[in-house]
Amino acid sequence: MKRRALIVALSLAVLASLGARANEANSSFDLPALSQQLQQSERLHGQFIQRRFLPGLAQPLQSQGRFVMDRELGLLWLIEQPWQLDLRLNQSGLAQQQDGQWLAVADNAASAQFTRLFLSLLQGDHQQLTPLFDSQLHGNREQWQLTLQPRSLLLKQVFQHIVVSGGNEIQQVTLLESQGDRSELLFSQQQPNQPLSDSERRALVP
Amino acid sequence: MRLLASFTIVQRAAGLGLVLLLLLPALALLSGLREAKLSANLLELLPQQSHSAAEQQAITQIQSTLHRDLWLLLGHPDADQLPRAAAQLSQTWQRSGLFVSVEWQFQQDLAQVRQSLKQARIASLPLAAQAQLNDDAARFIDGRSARLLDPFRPDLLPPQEDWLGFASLISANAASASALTWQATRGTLERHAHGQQWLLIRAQSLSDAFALDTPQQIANLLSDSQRTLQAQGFSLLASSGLLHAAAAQTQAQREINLVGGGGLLGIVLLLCLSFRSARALSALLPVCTGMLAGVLVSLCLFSSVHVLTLVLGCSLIGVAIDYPLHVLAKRWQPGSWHPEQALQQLLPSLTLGLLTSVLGYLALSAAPFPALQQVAVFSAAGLMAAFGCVICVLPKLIRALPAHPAPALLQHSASRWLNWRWPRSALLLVMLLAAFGLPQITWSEGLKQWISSPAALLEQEQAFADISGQRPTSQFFLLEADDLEQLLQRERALLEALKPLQQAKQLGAVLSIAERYNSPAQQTALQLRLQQLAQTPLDTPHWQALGVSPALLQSTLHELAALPVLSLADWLQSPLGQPYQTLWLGEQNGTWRSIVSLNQLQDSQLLHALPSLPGVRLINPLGDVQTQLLSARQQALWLVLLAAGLMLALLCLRCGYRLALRLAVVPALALLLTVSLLGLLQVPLTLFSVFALLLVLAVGVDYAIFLQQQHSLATACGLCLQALTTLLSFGLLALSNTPAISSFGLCLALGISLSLLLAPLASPPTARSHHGRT
Repeated sequence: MKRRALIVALSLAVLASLGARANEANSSFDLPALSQQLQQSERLHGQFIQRRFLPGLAQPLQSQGRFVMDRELGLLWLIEQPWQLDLRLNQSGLAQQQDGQWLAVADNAASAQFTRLFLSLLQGDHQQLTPLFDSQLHGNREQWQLTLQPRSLLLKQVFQHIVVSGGNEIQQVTLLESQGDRSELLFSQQQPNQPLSDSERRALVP
Repeated sequence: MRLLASFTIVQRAAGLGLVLLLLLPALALLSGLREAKLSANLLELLPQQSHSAAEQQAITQIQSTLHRDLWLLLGHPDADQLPRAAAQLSQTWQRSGLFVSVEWQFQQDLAQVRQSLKQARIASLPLAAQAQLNDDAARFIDGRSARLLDPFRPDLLPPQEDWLGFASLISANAASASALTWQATRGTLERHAHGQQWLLIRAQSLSDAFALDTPQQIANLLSDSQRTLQAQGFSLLASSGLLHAAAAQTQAQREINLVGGGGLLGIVLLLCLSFRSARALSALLPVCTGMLAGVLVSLCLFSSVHVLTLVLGCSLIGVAIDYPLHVLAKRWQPGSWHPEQALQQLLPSLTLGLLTSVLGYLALSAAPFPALQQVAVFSAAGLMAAFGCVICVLPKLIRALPAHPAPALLQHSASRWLNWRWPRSALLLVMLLAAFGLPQITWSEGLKQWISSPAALLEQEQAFADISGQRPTSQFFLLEADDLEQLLQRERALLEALKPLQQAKQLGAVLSIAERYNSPAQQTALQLRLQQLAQTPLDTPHWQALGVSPALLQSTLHELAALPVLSLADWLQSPLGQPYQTLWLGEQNGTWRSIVSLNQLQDSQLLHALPSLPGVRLINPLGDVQTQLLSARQQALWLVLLAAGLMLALLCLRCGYRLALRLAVVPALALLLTVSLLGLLQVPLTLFSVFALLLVLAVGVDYAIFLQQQHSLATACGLCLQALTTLLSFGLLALSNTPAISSFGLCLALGISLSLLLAPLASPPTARSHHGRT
């Protein structure tokens, strides 16, 4: 009898400590944890909508399409609306598909750095982001919002702030640029770890 | 009575010497007043080019940055490590007080960059875009919409301020000139290469490469930083004319120590061994006085003294010691010894010797080489001061020395030399040597003979050039025209002509104003075209699909057309134009001039093969050194022949042609063998070797005459000693790292040794038997 009580008490204690640990984990949902969560899947397929709100236009500029992000191979950004435009972002930079050929796009000296920044944003790579931005993270694993404020004088002249929000995956990125423009990226129908199609493989695998 | 008269001559000479010596403090004062520089600039050594004033101005302008700027590439596998290390490095360097600025972040003020881009959208629009605007405007304008779909490339100007993205075309054009790209998030210029991220740092030195201490201080600072950073896993590459100057100075310092110190040490040893008295060391006083005078006079006469002059000048030690040696050698003669008496006996021949030497050096200074002129002045002044010291101070210092026979070893060798007879079979050896050696003679002329930068420095520079794409060539183009319009047209024609070389990877980036700036007339034409386009309906389906109305595009075109024409002066002041200021020479007396500079040229001959364009001149600051050196060499060879002819004629007049020919055999064979041996040793001959041959000729004749006419053991001992000291100091020159100096030293050392060995050929047939009997 005594022995049985001891076992119950012990298991209760174990359970309690487990619960406490779970609570602790929830309350310390920080940038590294978010990074880890976003980097769980090796590959992500999904849809996107991009809207740019420009002061001179009544309607936002809107484009939409699908994307494939592979942790190793890079990002395919396949715009379908308002017209077709295939872009690829990887280690060697930004490329654009023209007549079945991938041509490097090098029309802005600053772009290499921005493409890296963009990839870090989508991959929630806190090691890349922390040196550049002050971050504030609200919410929990299921629903979170990350606000990034640029640290450097130079970056402040480009962005006012960037807001990223989501759950298991990123759902929305809002960039508020210093000169009054606002860009929104909305992601939907995200499917982790789907195999690459033939055309995707051809585009991504060097 | 006669003795008394000659004493007064010696006293008068001593008075003259004293005057010469008293000039020294005055010279010191004068040289102190002038701020003379110690230079390691190669250009100052080479023949003065006949550059026009405009060319000279262009050269100065281009080189002023080369001689002040120091470029660094900081590398690390982890890009995020770079900014902190760069900041730390620039702080350390700033604190050294050696630099005006140390920058690693460029164009920090984006607002200013944006403003200048916005203003220059017409003035700097690339040529390709202009062509498309003229040929197929609707397609070009419609195509400019694609940027807005792409979230990865934020433009510097927001779309509503620059719907057609002209600003991004301009910044892309500007970026194409460099292998490094501007990182907008950091404001740095970087590149990923060889598994590392590299960041560019630019340091501007406070004083230029020709200041005395600065290059060395900067080189030390660099190697300190390299050591510290390497320990932390970073790489640091540098490229600058300052580093070459520092290397040249260090090397010259080492060689001055070697030639000067080694020469002095050797002479001290020889003096001690052969005169067995510490007092004999007073023979060094004239040598030191001579060196001092050489330096002071050079500093007074030349605005900057080249380090190589000092290296060559150090060999003067071996020549200046001859005067005191002459006097001291008289001690070895049997009988009583009296310095004043010895001097009195020697004075005529010493004076004659001084005059011929000084005249010889002055003839050398007629050569169009600043290097030789400096050496000539240095040596002539040095010899005169040494002479002055010998005649007025030396006798008083060595008066107490007793007469003393020469050491046995010296006597023994001198007497063997005096009585040596070359067997006839030696002639066969000479012929064999000549037969094998002469065909193998090679000539080598050119800059390589003057430059001896350390291999490590050159490797570092190559690595820097590979990563950064920056390797300015010394050649550049100077363009001239009657107005700005024509000037920029000519620049564009030149750029067009250079394109095939760039496509063949024979040439890197070409920097020109015309590539970044459109002339006012071009800007006006563009404005007209844009105005015209604004008034015609354009088919722009992609813009419409985005929801941007034709009306908005038309107002954009209007706005672009209304941009004011940007003057060149304003453009050069803007952040876009500032890097091109060094290329602009401006207008003078109705002629407009600019520079087009080149990077990473593989073969300079390719530039000469370009078709000639009006108003375009290729400027090579190093000049046609090759041709100049070749023609100087030709002249020098004639000079050797002329000198030989004159000497022979003189000898014929004095001693009759049989004896003259006998005497001439010594220098002739010495020259022949020297050249043959150099051929066998595979040492290429240079212009400097020819000057050395000239000296060998003079020395050879000297030895021959001596053996012919002054057949006494004591003077033979003195001569042997002199030959040893001369050999010592010139032989040390052969160790120099600068090929031109080392070949000069080697040629002289060989020639003097051979003259010494061959001199017995000239001894009279009777002399031998006479000496044999005694």
